[in-house]
This record gives sequence, C-alpha cells and structure tokens, in this order.
Amino acid sequence: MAEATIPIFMRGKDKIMSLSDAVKTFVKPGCCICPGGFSYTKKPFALAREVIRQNIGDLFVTMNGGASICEFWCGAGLVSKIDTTYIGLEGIQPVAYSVRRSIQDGTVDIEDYSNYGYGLRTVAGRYGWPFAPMMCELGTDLMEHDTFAKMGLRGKKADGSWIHPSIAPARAAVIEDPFDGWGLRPHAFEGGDNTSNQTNHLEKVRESTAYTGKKGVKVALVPPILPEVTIILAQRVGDKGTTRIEGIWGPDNEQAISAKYTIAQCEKVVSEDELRAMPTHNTISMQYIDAIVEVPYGGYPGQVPYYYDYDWDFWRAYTQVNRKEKSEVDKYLRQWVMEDEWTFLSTRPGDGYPTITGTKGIERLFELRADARFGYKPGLARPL
Amino acid sequence: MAIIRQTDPKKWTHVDDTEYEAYCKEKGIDPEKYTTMELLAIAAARQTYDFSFIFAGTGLPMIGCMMAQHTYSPNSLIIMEAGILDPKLLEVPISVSEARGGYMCSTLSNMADTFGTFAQRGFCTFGMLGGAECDKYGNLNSTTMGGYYSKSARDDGKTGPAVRFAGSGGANPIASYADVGLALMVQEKRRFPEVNEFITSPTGSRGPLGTNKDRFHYGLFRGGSTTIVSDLCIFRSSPETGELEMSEIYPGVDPQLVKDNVSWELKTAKDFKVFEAPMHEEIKLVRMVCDPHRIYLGRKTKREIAAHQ
Amino acid sequence: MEQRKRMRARISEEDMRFSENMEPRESLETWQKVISAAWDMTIVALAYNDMRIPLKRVPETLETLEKEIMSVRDEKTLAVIEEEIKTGIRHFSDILEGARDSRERMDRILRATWNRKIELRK
Repeated sequence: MAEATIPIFMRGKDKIMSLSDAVKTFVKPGCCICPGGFSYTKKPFALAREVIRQNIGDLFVTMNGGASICEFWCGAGLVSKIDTTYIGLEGIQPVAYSVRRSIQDGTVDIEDYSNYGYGLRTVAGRYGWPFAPMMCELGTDLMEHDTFAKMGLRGKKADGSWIHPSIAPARAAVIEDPFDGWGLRPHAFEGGDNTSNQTNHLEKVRESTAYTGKKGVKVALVPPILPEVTIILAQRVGDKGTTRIEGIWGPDNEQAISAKYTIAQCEKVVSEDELRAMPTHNTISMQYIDAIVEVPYGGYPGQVPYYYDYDWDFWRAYTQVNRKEKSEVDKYLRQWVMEDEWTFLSTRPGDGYPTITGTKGIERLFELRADARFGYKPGLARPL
Repeated sequence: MAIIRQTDPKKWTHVDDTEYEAYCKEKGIDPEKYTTMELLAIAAARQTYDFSFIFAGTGLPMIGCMMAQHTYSPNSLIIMEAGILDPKLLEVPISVSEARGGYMCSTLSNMADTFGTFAQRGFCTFGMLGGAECDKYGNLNSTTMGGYYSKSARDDGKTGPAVRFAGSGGANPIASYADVGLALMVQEKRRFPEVNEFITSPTGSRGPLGTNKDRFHYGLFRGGSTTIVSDLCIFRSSPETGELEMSEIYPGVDPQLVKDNVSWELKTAKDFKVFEAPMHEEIKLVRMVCDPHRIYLGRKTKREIAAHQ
Repeated sequence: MEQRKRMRARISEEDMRFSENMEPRESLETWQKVISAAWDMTIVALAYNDMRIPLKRVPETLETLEKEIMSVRDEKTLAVIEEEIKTGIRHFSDILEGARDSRERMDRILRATWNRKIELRK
C-alpha cells in the first residue's frame, strides 16, 4: 500500500490531528518523553493534560525546562524515571513537591545534569553529534553520581542492542583537549584580553591528571538526548509543520529536533506561506514535526509570550494542593483535567482557587491576555 | 583592569521621597528599617563593579542584579538563562526564562546559547546564586541531603534521599564559569557544614588552593574566589587557602553568632570590618524599583520572625 | 491581637473545591471564533513590533529627502528617487489597504456588540 510507506513527517496536512489522537498515537506507556517549554513559559500543558486523561504511565521524562509538567505527571503517578537538571517550581515552590516526594519515597529515579550539560546534550541531538564538549560539572558530585548506571540501564545487551534506546552507555566521559586549550585562551590579539573574564588558569589545569590520568586540558563529553517523543508548544505552526516559536524559545527547538517523534501543539495552525515569507523567523523546519494540534489557550496555566500570561493565582493555590496526601493530589489532578481540553478550558480557569475578579472559564483566560508589545500582561496582579 | 564603581547615590536611579513615604504607608512597612531579604539584595549589589557581566540565578539573586544596575554598576549587563542579555526589567520575573525577563533585551534565545555564547566565551564576571547548603570552601549543595539515589539504585535499603532539593539548574555552570561566585544564603549551622554532602556548584576554590582538591585540578579554568552573603555576615574566600573567612559583619550582629552558625572553626579575615548599614537611598531603591510588589522582598526568615516576637 | 501576616495567605478548603455541573454560559463555537479573531489581531500586532520604530522614522527621513529635492543637480538622481518612492507607494498602499479594511470592520464590530448587549438585556 503506497499510503503506508510515506514517512510520518512527510504527511503534510495529515499531520494535523486532534489532541487525543496525537497523544494516543505517539505517547506510549514507558516511553521516553521530553516536554518542552521552561518553567511556566510555553509549556505544552494541553498535551500534558491529555497524557493524564489517557492515564499513560511508567514515563521516562527527560527535560531541561523546570518541573511544572513533571509535577503534574508525578502527582498523577505516571512517572518512573526522570533525566533533568532542575525540579523546582521557580518563584512559586522551591522544589516541586510531587516530584520531590516521589524521589524521596522511591517511586521515581532521577539522573541529574546541569542546565548547560543538558543544554549541550540537546545541541548534540540537534546536530546529530555523537557527543558535545562540556567544561562545567567537572569537580562536582554531578560527575560522580550516575543513577542509570547503578540501575543497569547503560550499555548493551547480550545480543548487542542498547539496553535502553534513550539511555546512553555513559553519563559523561572526560578526555584531554587534543588542541591543548587553544580555543580557550583569551583572544589576545595586539595584547590584552577580549573577554570580560579576568581569571584564566589553564596552566594549572594542564598540570593536573584528574579524570583521565594524563596531563592536559580536561573536557567532559556528554551524549545527546534521544527521546522517543517530544511535546512542544509553538505559537504558530504551518499546515505542513514549519514551526515558528515567538519570543522565548526555551529548549524547544533542540528538544524537538532530537526526538524520534515530535508533537507540536499550537495557538494557531496557519498556511505555510504565512510563515515562509520570513523563513529566518521560523525555528523548526517542517520535517521535524510529526503531529500538529491546534489548541488555543492550551498553554494555560502557563505563559505563552505575546498571547497570554501565566495564572499566578492558580499556581499559588496549587502549592497548597500538592502538599496533601499523595492520593488526594492524584484525585485532584484527575478531576482538574476533566474529560477533554475544551471542557477543561471552559470550566477550570478561575475555578477551585481564589481570584480577585471571580471570573471563570474562557472569560478568565481572556483576563490573562498579554500585551503584544511586551509579551506579558503588564501589571498582572501577583498577590502573595 | 581598574575597578569602577558608581558610589555616588546622587547618580543612582532616582526615587521620589514623597512617593516612597506613600508607598511604605500603603504596604505597612517602616521606611527606615530594612528586612533580611532587602539586606541580602543590597549587600549583593555592593559586591559588584561596573562594566561587568552579571549572571542572574533564579529568585532573590535577580533582585540583587537589578539593584546592582540601579546603583554601583549602572553599565553592567545582566545575563539570564533564556539567552537574555541586558533586558529592561520593568517587572520582576518569577523565572529566569519568562517574558518579563526578556523584554527589550539584546538577544533572546535559549539556555544552551546563554552558557555557550556568554558564559563559556568569557562574559560572566559575577554569578549570583542561592543555595541550600554552603561548605567551608563556598561550595553549594542544591541537590540532595541524606543520600542521592532513590530505591532502584540505592544500597542502604532506604527509599530515597532524606531531602531532595531542586538540583543544579544553572547554578553549576554559573559557578564553573564566573570570575566570582556570589551566593545569597540564610545562615544556619546545619546548612553550613564543613564539607557538603553533595557538591553541586563549585562557587569558590572548591578545596584548599594549590592542592589536588581545588577547582583547577579538576579542570575548571576560570573563577577561584567567592563571596557568600548571608543574613549575618559576608564571607570571602581567602586568596591564599580558598577557605571562607568572616570578612564583613552587619551592624549589630555578634561575631560569636556567626561562628556558632557554621560547622567549622571560622577564621576572621585580616581586613575584617563592619558592613556599612544599608543607606536610605539603597532601601528606597530596592523596594520601589526592584521589587515593588515584594514578591521576593516580602519573604521573612525564621530568625527574623523570631526576633519580632 | 495583631496576627502576623503570613507570606502566603492560607486558602480555605472551600475555596479550593471545584464547582460541580457548571454549564458554560457561552457556546464553544462562539468562543472559538472570538479566539481566532483575537489571535489574528495579536499576530499582526506582533509583526508591528518590528515596524513600530522604523514606521515612526520614515516621515523624518522622507522629510529630509523632500527638502533635498530642490538641491538635486542630476536628472538620473531624480529617476532613482522616483523608483524608490514608487516602490514605497506600492508597499505602503498594501499596508494601508489591509489596515483600513480591518479598522472599519473593527468599528462595525464594536457597534454590533453594543447593539447585541442591548438586545440581551431586554
């Protein structure tokens, strides 16, 4: 059958599908899933809610964007492994409580990287590199702890296949720079430095034999991320998948390109022509998108720059919810998401937490409208 | 390079005194009495110098950076993790990557870019961070206490760590690449162990300078000194040993209280002095310009609450 | 006795309960159309961020050019100016036409919403 041989990413307008179909097709129990966005900005919450609706569990969550989606998934008991850098709810709760509790009680195993270490992994994934060079994390306990190795998930099976398709054979490796730090010296043309840094002790580094047993400039190598499915939110996506993220990118572009499948939820599906008139503004080329889902306001309760701001009142109240008994939090989340996204958006905003205006539903969503000149809602009330 | 600092309060961002009085009345705060969070932000700003690049970690450090720009370091450029350089911070961002942090900046991209294009390339003079634990050499722990692994990978039969913190986030790379690591912390003995259980961020020398435990031995080629701003005093790393020393103490704080709240024998710096109390101009500025809704400045420490009762 | 104000005021259990059986007051179809129009206006406003400052500057540079015409010495220079201005007219006419049509419709929609409000209140 000719139809069956067209790769998913070449299926043009057939990539446009409903939220439930996209999740049903691409998000499988136990898969390695990578949510985009950062903290509250451009998090694909509609897709995250749909995962809860469809109760897809045993997830291996890999991400570089703070924990808001992982918090909901851990609260609903859907996560078994996390590969990340930061599990706080920035500015709202120092550590996302459902995530923290799950790690402390042994439900979830976590592998830690730093933001740059993980960021470099996404760059390696983006460019198809075998690894990326990292010069931080050295000298710290991040390099000394490897959860997935301890769990026996790294390396090859007896038949020669990788034990886990989304877990590299090692967390990191360290080599000596074959160029002896040539690329790292201050740009001392015509005398004087050309960076803002004042300190540079490469000569001390060269003398050390740490990590490799040999003298030289130490460089850590980190493997790419290779998630099975990445979910992102982009403001506009063309009807064949050309993606334009407007404002803050977050780690989305790299995470989308690194994945086997990428689902892009968007505020509006537009014509390809609309976006191709200025191709430099587009951030992901069309073949990296496998499913397109139009969900206006689907980034609620987060912020989608230029369209709407985060719902501060919701997050403030949520930090009281997630400190309850695990079963209570689970029940809350499953009630919160309702049966489908439009019902959710028509009902839940403004409901179940105090707001100044008392408005609910889609009217409430419009109270969060951003000013297109700023990207956020100036003067948004953020009471403590 | 000569250090330039704008120390003339008349050149700082202007705040009208009448507006300030009305603001304090509205918020129910004493116009002259500073809070702990305000002290930390002001002290942090005082550590910077002009024409530098200041990398803002999440939370109160952002307020410290904003304060620096409105006072001592007006020409300094703030870096935030969404590839942000030199934003116009009209409202306090609650995240290092939200639209408020990206307004009118020079470029706006992503995290990999921030740490590459700015930090790795040498544009990170000061890295301003917070931390959960700080040890004798200024290393910060923001990862875990009571073991690292969870059940599947654990050896001692426990289900997981006693307390899991947020993790490195940007803290490790900021500490790895900055010339000077600046951390803002509330000081309690249990949070200032002699040796961190887990080193997340090597803010200072990491270990005794000149030994195989120092940061350079492990391959970090920048940095080496740190200033830790606590709510009791300011620690600076010794240029000889790398060990934190009590360098400046806030007015009215007993040095013994400082020593009782670290878990090692704290040395006093040779040039130890009393910190000049926050000025009226500084308090005005940090309140009205940096965080008028008191999202971060409104927080109170246990010590502060206890002192009030 | 003066209560110490907590950093985060505690929210009552009652306030945290979800409402039951809430019938939406507006149809989903209507909301979808409202959102779609709002989003299109935002998309144009967003593009305008790029135009805002140059658009304010164009009158200045045009005024300078206009004054300069009286000093031009060569016909070929005038030909260049003519071509550039004709190109400008084409671009700016496109902008004007699109904007004028939308602007008129926005006025009509405002009037329609007021009329509909009166009807609903009857």
